[in-house]
Amino acid sequence: MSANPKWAMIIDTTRCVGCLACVAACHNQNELPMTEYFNRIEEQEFGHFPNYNRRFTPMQCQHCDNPPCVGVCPTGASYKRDDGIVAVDIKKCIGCKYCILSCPYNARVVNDEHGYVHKCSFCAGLLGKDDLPACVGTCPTGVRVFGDLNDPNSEISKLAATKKTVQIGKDLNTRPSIYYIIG
Amino acid sequence: MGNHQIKRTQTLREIYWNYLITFYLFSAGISAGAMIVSIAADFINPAKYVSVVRAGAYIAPFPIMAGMVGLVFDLERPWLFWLLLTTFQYKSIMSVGAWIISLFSGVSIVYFIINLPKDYLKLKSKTGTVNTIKLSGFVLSTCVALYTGLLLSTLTARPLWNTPMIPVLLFISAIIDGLAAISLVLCLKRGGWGGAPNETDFSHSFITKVDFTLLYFLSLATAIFLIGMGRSTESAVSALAVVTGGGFSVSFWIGFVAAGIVIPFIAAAYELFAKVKTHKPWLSFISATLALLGGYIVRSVIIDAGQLTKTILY
Repeated sequence: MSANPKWAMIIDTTRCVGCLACVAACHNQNELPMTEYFNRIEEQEFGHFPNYNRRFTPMQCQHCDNPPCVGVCPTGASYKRDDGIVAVDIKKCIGCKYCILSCPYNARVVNDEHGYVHKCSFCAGLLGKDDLPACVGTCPTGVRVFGDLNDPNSEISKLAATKKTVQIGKDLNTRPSIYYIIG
Repeated sequence: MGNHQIKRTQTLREIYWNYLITFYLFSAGISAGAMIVSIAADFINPAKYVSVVRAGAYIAPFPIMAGMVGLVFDLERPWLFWLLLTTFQYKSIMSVGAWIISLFSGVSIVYFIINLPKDYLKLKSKTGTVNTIKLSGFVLSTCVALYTGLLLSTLTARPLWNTPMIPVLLFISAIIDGLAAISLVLCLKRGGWGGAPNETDFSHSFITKVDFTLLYFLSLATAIFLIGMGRSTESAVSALAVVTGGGFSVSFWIGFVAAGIVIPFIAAAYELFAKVKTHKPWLSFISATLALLGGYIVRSVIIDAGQLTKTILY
């Protein structure tokens, strides 16, 4: 880990089998009700039998470097941390839902009990204790690699240098911190 | 090759901004439009169009206040609405807008009072102060009418909203709605506020000319919007299809295009080209009601369809 970490994730969709363990781990870690999701798996089907394929794409907050949700927030509740994580100060959130509508990844949800908006935080409470976000630690097929892009010796930096990755919705000028390997 | 997508884990809500936001955009449009028209008429000829000036001034403060109540209750945490006015986030159109509508409300109330027959604020002799109020009222009402469209058009995630034509459409529509509200008041208040017996006819003629011009521009803006979206990205084309051919098509074509543009345009054209000199309240009433209906429906369609359609990412 570098002195100024820049947290990022690589998601290798070619390894994802759609088991939803990450979704369950996320629910558990963030103590979410069953009606609220911080991550989800989008499923695509291609072709017709026997020339047929499916692709699972885990989708969650992309922790954009140019996050639309932070720009639109009228109270400053949504903010970008120095380590790259996009976070919500729930004390300042009035629940206007502008950020939800601004997010191309549909990553934000309203908390039904208290009315604030919340979302994936890369399990910010766990970082710095050598712990991984819950979805990363639980994945049985090694889809997710998490780490510090500012540390050239981290696993994610090495992987980013050797594999071709794409940022989803790059054209929208969001500059995501999640990179996908799409086979 | 077939290619379809299933969402394995559903995001359970699709509509986050409901009819309260539609009502707010509509009411803010009426207020801003009535104020712009009133101040413009005052600038052109305050004696001749006194009924337009007064009706606009008497309308302006109230729809937006009702809309702001709706706006607060659309928040998930309405008791925290005051946080909007403890900060200024210049990048957030909503934050800038919250300040603009607060200032607008204040100035529109002052403008309302100085247009009452009695000189409550003792300002009638102070021309400089009155002109400052009028100028700031004009600027603020222009900002209100513009920001409601910019609020939507700056979101790249929503292809139906993310076009510069949305603020243009909503701006023109706001002034038409303000005119229609003034026109309705003149139908109810027979004779207007003028001293001269035919003052209502002058005011009505002014409204008809402005209405005709704006409806012409609104129809052009709508056409440009439809052609531009129809020739844009896959996201935009599929979002537009929901409006023009999907579940919103009846609202859009009959509610907005027919009731909100074509019929009021024909009514205004009839009055202009048949040289109707006298105010016909029944015709104005029908035309203005349809224009307002169209103004509400187009905002409803844009708000709802815009949320149901998303930018296609991959």
